[in-house]
Amino acid sequence: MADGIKSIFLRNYLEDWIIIATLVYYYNSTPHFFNMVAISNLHFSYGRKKVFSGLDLRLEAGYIYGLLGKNGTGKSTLLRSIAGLLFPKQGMIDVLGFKPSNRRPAFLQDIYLVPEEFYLPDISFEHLLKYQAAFYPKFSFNQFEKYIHEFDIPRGNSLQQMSYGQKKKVLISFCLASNASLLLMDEPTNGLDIVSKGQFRKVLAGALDEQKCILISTHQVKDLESLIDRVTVIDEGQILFDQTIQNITKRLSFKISFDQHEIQNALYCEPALRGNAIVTSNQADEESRLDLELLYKAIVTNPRLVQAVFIP
Amino acid sequence: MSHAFDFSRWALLVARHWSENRKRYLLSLLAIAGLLTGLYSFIILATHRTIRPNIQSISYFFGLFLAGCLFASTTFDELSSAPRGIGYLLLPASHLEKFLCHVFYTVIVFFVSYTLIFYLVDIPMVHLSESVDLKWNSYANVKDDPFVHAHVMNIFSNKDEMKVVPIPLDLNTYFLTAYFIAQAAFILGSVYFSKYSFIKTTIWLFALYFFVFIYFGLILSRLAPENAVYESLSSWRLNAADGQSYVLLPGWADEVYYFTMKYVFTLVFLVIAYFRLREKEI
Repeated sequence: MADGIKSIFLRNYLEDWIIIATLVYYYNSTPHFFNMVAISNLHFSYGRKKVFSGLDLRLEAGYIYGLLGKNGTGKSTLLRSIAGLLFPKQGMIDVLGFKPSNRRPAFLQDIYLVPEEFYLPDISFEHLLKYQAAFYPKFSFNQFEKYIHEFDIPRGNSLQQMSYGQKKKVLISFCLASNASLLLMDEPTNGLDIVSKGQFRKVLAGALDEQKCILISTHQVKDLESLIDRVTVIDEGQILFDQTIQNITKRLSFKISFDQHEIQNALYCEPALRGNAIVTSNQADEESRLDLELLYKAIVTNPRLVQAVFIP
Repeated sequence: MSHAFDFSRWALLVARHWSENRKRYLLSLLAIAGLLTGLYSFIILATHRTIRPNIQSISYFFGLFLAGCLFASTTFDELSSAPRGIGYLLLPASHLEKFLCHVFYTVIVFFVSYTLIFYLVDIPMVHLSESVDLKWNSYANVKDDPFVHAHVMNIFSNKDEMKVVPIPLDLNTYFLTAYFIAQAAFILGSVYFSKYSFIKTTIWLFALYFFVFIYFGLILSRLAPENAVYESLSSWRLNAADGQSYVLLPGWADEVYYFTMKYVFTLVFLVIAYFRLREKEI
């Protein structure tokens, strides 16, 4: 009797098992894009100085992520680890289905990092396009021309004759025109003037599509307002806060207050020209404009209180 | 497209490298030509004699070692600073393609260019020295130092050379072999040392040479009988009151030694440099 049931069970489920095994095989043997970046239990240190100890992070396509944090908290290290420039001591990093540390050409063709300090060789625009763009199969010359025009960069000059800001804008234009799926930017607005920062926000907002994921690391939070879809704060090697802008504005309220009771119960408050700028829990479902700087200060000074607001 | 090596991607890397570095390379070759011309001019003015093949040989190898090793120590110059290193490591090409592109320029292009530049200077200057020698002889009528016809040294032939080193390699082959080993060591040094690569590699090579010298000079000499003089890698000369005798290892021992010297050292240094490049973090 038992053998009969066993044989029926095996016969009925054998085909299912074969299908599952085949799916698992294909899932493991081909790149999978459910998460553009999947980091789990990342440990990294410079000598004895620990930077990450068990960091977990997921980045999905179609979003612009703002990576915020104090100086020296590991923002650049995280970007370099994702790009395969630094190797984790422990844990796993999966980017577009690749192990970044292998630095395979197919992986490098599909990511682009704009570092905080960068180098452009002493060549002309034409040479840059001829010899650099050819390495990126999805590179669009039309897009590059469009971005160069939007950034008001003069053609004709060799790259070394340009100012720092102009070089940075060339690099950002190249990064966006490469159409790489994952764009990593480390302090991209450093060195840009006020007009250029506005141009940067405009260009970047227009460049995002459902196939791309943009991760911007900065401590100049004002530059990212009205641009990012998700805020990720990193502190002491851990992700301290990771929420969408929609969720943040739904759960938190940013305003100027004169009410002493409200000020005392605020998650964060600081004196403003008139009254106090505060961050409070948005219990009344009020609409308020996100102030990234205030949010960041609230998270850094009262992480537990802010996190508690987001617990369903 | 192979992820390890794709010829069209490698060719693109080679073209890109040339577009970024051609000014520097062409100026360096001009500087080498200028220095060689200066050196030969000085020799002609100082001696009024035809430049002999041994002088040409010394000039060729001195320049080759100095310029070649200096150039090799800058092979992976990109890795000396973070901004350049990031651009280099993230360029969509495999480590092997990047490595072979650099080896192509440092080993092949440099050697061919240097040799061409050398002969472009050497041939006219040797003939100039011949005409100076001819005139000087007719004026000075020097009998103990007669006029010598111009003879351009061929570095790929050993006919002109005397055997002055007790090894089964001819002098030009010996120096060329030593050059490629030294150059491979400096390529390795350029991956290992981000800063002062030439100085640090030179120190390491001297340390290695000192170790080999101590090993053969002291340790192996102690193993040999008394009055034995270490002559080459596989022979000892025994001095005795009634004459000399030799202790020789089998013939294949020399072949193994020199095969190792000619190919294995260079290859090992280059392979280590490649794996070091793969592991490079910035």
